[in-house]
Amino acid sequence: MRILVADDDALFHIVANAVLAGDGYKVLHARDGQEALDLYREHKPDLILTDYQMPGMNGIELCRSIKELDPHRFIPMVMLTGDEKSRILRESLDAGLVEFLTKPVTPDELRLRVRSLVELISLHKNLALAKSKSDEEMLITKHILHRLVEPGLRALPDHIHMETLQTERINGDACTYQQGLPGIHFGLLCDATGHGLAAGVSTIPAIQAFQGMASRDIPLETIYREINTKLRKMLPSGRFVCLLLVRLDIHNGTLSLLNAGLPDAIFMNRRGTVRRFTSRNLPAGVLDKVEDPVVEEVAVSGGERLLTFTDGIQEILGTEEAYRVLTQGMSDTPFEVHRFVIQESLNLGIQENEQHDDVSWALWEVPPPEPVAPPRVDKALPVTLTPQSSPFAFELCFDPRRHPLREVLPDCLRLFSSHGVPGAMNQLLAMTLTEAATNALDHGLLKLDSALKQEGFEAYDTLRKERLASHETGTLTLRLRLYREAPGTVCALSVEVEDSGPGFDWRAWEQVRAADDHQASGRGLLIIRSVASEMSFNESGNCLRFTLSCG
Amino acid sequence: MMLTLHREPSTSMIRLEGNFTFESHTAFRTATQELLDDAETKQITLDLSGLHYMDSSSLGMLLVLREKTEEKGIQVVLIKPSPAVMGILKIVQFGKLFEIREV
Repeated sequence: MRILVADDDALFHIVANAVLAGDGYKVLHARDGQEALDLYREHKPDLILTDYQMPGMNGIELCRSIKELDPHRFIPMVMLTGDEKSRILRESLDAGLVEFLTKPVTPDELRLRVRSLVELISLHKNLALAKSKSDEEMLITKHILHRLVEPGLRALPDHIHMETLQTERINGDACTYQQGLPGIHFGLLCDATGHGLAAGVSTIPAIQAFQGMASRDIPLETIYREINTKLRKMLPSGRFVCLLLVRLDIHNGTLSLLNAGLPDAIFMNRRGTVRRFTSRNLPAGVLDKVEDPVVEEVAVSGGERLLTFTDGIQEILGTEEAYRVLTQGMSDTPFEVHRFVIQESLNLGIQENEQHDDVSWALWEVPPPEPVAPPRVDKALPVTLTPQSSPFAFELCFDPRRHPLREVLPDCLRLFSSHGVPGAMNQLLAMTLTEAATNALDHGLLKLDSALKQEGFEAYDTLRKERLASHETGTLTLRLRLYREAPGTVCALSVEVEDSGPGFDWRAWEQVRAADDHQASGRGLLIIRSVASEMSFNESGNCLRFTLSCG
Repeated sequence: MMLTLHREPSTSMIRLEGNFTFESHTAFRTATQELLDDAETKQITLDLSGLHYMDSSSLGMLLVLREKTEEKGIQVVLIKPSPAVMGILKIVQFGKLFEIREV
């Protein structure tokens, strides 16, 4: 601790030195203001004791000069005055002075005053240290959270926009996007209890669970259950995360939504009719087990919009006002313009009101469905397949009664898409594999007769459910093989779907088919035949083989 | 936030006024702990009529209270929330966890 003493009175220097050096401080002595300023520049003392009346620069001028040199440093300054104190009080207000001492000063008075200021300095230093530490932790957490959601936000398609408008601190808001299977889009908006690091950290398990599960096209209620279980295990009681999950399936024309504790999501059709999706679920992390998650679904065909917010919107625009301003008359505004209007309104709202909370928001537009038959498949092109040229193949064997198709197939497709199978082909694979596997399950394993469908799908479905629930066992084996021409280009996929059932009379089916093209049975096989470059059964009829090729 | 505790044998009422946020944490915990420690307590009524606002931390405090009261078989009832506060309780679906009497 260094103390600078500025006084033209030699006697005060002797007293100050005796008292302060005796207390263990290093004392710097200056005879006038200029010398004091030079010593300050060189040694950066922690505390200044200065006389008011000095030749040249007076005490207040000295204090001002020091303040100018180091405007952001905390330096307590004590002014020693005679009877001029009342006169100079006003001009010392802006000089950064902390205290006055009236001369003559006794050694005890000086000691006491300096000790209390030294205490203040050390408190100030500790505070600054703690703040820089907490700032650093905040930055690291922000960085981690950013890295976690960034890949999703970068992959956003043109028809979806999401962002989090953050305050300087962390407030537990996050949003991200995940592509599911081709044509399927998932979104997450979340807001954790409280503020600061704890809130930020609470969202991490939710985001990770969402990303992993959405990429495998797991239903929203299952994702919500999983996030709930994870958070319940990890968070202390009283902490929870409000969230909103969205799934858009363009090909099947459905938009599904699960709102757990966030403000209403607003859905608009092309005519501008608005429907609200109010929160109907508890936030995640409240209960050990979620009873019945409420997922709502609307049919969409292209052009509809969905607008969602976290509750930070309340203090920026007011929730109801936001709904009014940001949706009215917007249904026929181009998507980019709509998005711009929202961004500008939020920015304006933030400037006008002091923002205390984060707000995350998302705007979705349903694109028109893409044509179902991908043009990239060239059925006529003959493919010569050599097993040697196959770098990637796998076989999957499972009992569809225990592991439902809808859970197994997405994993298969995911595996292929991560090995370079283009989206259009993966879509085709999804369709044909679903048809073939359903066929093998329904007719090969459950031994359901297609003729039942002519009596009504309901009877068929009831019997199917009964047989699925029975204790019989049986397996499906999927063999998939990927062929490449040059590295990175996929030219063909061969598929075998075999069931452990007795097989069926495919020759008879071919004959019936040739006679009547319009009956309900075997439509799945026709779909496969229409897109595959070749399709055949084995002799016993329990194994279907087909090849998909990319021209 | 202002917190007033009216103690009655078995049924006690806590009246909350102002904004219920994290700053009210200690006051709320102290008041509820006193009731929890009393073996006679069968029901805790929280009068919300004077509350303007609840933030997520205060919702968390209600959850903690719910956990503690469940262990002891004490019932928690929320009464007379203002429309603004009722809106918040509805969004987080607290009606599934607490008895809420709007009048």
